[in-house]
Amino acid sequence: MLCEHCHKNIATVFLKKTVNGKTTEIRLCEKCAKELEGINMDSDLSFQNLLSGFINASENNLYGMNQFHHVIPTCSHCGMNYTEFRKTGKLGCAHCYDTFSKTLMPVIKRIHGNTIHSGKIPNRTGGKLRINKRIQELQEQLHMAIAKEEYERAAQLRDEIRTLKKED
Amino acid sequence: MIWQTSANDPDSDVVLSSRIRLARNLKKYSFPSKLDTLEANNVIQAVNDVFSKTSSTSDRVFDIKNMDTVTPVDKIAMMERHVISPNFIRSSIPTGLIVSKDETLSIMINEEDHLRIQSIAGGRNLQLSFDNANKIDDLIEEKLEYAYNEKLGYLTTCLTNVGTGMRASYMVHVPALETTGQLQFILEAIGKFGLTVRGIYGEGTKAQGSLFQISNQITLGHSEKEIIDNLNSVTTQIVDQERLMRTKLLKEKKITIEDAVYRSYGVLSHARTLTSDEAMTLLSDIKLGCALGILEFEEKFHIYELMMLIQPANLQKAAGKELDGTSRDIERAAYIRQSLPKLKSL
Ligand SMILES: [Zn+2]
Ligand SMILES: [Zn+2]
Ligand SMILES: [Zn+2]
Repeated sequence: MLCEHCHKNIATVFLKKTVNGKTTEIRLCEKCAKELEGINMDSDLSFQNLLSGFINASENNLYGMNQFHHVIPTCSHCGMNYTEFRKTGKLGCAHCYDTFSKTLMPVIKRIHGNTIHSGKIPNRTGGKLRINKRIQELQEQLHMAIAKEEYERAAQLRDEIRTLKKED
Repeated sequence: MIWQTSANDPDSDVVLSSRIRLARNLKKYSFPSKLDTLEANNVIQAVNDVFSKTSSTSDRVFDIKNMDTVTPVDKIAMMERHVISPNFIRSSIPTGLIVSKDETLSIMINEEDHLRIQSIAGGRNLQLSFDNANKIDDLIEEKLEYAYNEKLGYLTTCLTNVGTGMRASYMVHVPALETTGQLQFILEAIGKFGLTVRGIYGEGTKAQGSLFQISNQITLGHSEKEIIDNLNSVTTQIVDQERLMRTKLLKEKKITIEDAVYRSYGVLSHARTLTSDEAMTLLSDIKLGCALGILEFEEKFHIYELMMLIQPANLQKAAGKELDGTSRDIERAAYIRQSLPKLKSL
């Protein structure tokens, strides 16, 4: 579902607004939610706030007239929303880790005392990670070469990048 | 059940089995919590394909089971033998199971995560369990892409498994620590090492026959090796403490212990009905009696294996028919009388 304001990005913030006793629902992308409603996903949506059920209206209300409750980000890939996650303790897909990232990290930290994996790296994904990193390096060198007008070197780098991308 | 009888290691008086479980998800699909029937079947098919195509090159023979055709009793019996988890039986979406002939390796498909790779070994053999699970993990990863994140490692349905996705555990028999009340202190201390203790059938199950599972709770931030090393050093301490308490009991309460062990043997070898709880407690006494050298049998027999085979579903399988509670207790008593070897005459 697309953002009801910009009609460009995927809506991940579901807002229920009560204005003068009338409740309406809008779906916004994170960017528009931040701009329009003053909702900052980074700081205001802490796990504790969500755990306690709803967000204090005054904290997120720039306009004074609006009353917010239930600010619920939803995973655009699997449809998991935060309320459901809170109830079951289960995530719905790999993308949920990105969708709920800001609120999951403190929980992960609390469970494991850590937020960085230091164990096994799978061969396939690991290989891809290494290739991507190498491509990035080569691309930086390519920009430099072009800036310095070293066209022979640039062509060489371009070929190298092309080969790596094929492997990927 | 080869794994229960293969053990021949110095800690077999306390450590009964070793287990590694790896939680993995496939990148392409939503996790089981958000999987519909069609997609769930696709996951099963994708994993089955890996094994049907590699079975000829692999040194192990795997059985690809269609869980729809497995009877409820057979499912519970497998759970009692630790091949599958209680959670797996309760799944509301289609599930699949790939299991080695000797049941030491199994892959549950669509449990809480797409894959739960499990490797069991008899006695204290965690490294062997890990190596076997790791090989299967590599084999699958050759064909299927996992949900993996550079920062968080293997992504799992539950945040409690993220990172290595690994749960390493030992099944220990600690009757002396339990009866002397020492276990309570150990349970409290163990949390500080990121470890946890559970009953024999995992989370939320009660302890039976003084059997407990010690396992790591933390899966993120430590490597697989660090997790295993940590579990090993704590387990060594538990083994030492259990032995210390056994020696102490034997020294201070010799006649009480001997009496309890012989009484338990007497009941097990003559009773006509036994509940599962009672049988587990009595078998635990026999196990302790053997470890302390009080009892010696004419032939070697594996108490831990017997403990699993007298659980309700396995008992019904052995009898070849459904049994109600009362007839189960009769059948159990008969089964134990039959399995218990004679004592060596002194
Ligand atoms: Zn927008
Ligand atoms: Zn998701
Ligand atoms: Zn869970």
